[in-house]
Amino acid sequence: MGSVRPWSVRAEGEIVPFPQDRVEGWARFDTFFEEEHERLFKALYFVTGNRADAEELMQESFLKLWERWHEIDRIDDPTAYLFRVAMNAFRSRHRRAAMALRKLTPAGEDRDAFVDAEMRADVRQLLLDCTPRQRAALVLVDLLGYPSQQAARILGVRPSTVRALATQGRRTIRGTEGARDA
Amino acid sequence: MPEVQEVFRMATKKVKPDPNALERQVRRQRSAARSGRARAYLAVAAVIAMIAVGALVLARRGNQTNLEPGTSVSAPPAVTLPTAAPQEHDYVNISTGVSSPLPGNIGGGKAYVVSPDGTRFAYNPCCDPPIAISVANVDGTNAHSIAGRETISSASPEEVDAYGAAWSPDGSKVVYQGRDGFTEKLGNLFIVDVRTGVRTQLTELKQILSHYWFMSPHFSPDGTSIIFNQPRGPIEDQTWDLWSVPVVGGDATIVRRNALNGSYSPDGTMITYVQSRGVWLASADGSHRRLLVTGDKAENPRWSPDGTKIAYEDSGRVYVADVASGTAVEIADGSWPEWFNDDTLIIGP
Repeated sequence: MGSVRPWSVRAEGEIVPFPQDRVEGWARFDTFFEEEHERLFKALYFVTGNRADAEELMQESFLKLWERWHEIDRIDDPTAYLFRVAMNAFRSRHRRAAMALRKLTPAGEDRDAFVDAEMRADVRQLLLDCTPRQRAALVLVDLLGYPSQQAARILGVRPSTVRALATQGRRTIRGTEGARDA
Repeated sequence: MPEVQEVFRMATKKVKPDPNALERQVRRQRSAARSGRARAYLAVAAVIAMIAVGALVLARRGNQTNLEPGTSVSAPPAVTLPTAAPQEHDYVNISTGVSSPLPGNIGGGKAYVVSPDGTRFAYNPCCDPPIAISVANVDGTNAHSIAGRETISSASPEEVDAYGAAWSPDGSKVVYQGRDGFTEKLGNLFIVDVRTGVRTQLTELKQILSHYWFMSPHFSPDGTSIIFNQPRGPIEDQTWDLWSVPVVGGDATIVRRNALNGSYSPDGTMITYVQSRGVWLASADGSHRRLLVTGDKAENPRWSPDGTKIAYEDSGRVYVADVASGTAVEIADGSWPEWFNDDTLIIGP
């Protein structure tokens, strides 16, 4: 991986230093990225079922956080902010894709989801039986441990909706035949 | 929950982000820093060019004509918003279910509220902080910010993000919630004159922390007060109450305990709100309540302009309930229903 270089090169060829606080900001952001990006990526993969989407959403989220990094002291929970940005972007894409698909073909299951994950077919089916919103609720509540009110804030819904989505997701994962052997 | 965690582990153990992700991220950060400056220069140049062209046109025509309601030559400059990503909010006819898109250049936002005269929208053009409120003609023209960071250079962090626009009955003002979107703080309510841009802070609320901080402000039909909800209790065990505050300022008074998302009927005699178990109706003073429809995940109820129906969302679907009978009909998938007219909703994703 590259390291942060505290220099920029002017068009004229003269090398000038960046302000020290900018350099320190980059270093802190890079540290935060190293600590968080794999977890965010896996969570987004779990929600989207698509590696490319997870990568794009992850990059987009970190870029938006970077644009606000100078105000980081005001952000109560940068991780929650990352997820919220990512979920907003995912919801936008998901609806556009669903609308486009509905116009062209009858609704059907997403056969291309989770193709990058090596797992048994029945486990894959468990995931496909859950909607992306249910998987998102499970990520936030069960895997990341956010209380339902904070998860609701991240997903942009009411706490009761988060609890319902998580309950539905758990029932789906536990209730499908063969799940206990997964 | 071991089952969920085990499924997650199996789904993701072989899937890792690209090891060059950090390097790409650093490049994007620096590119964003450089392009941010370039965009600022281009935006200034574009505004100067627009002003020059506008002056030329005015000089040729002599007098400005056909001034749209809500616009003024002395208003903040109409910054042309960039072309939005493919829009997601649709008009939906509640009788036929037929949908059609909003104008593309103002799409991609949230909570599109039509003015009382049906000619303009107030809406949030984007979803992540900093959040602004914009106003545009319903055909998508004349889109410009009226609240939020871009319009208030002196704004404190506590009011840089603007949410929940609602029109005054005469269409001259918008009430909204200004807060710091990075925090869980409540913020306060503000009223902005759409034509002049003059902004007034309406409340000085105790900054209760809440994961559900949205105050859902709405004008009373006579324009003299704002109904809104406010959280009560510690953040880990919270409920909400409906309050009313005079538009001219003063103390807020409680309307109804344990209720949120309240709004007045068009004739001002009733309110609707959500509480556990569903969407409720009550007299305007909060008394004499009755359950309209059940649904413990119902939220955002909205009166139709003629006051005979209430649209609301529940678990990712939008419904319309008849006020007299309580019969509810599912309209479409989506959220944040707002009435465009008595037959048409604007529904978000």
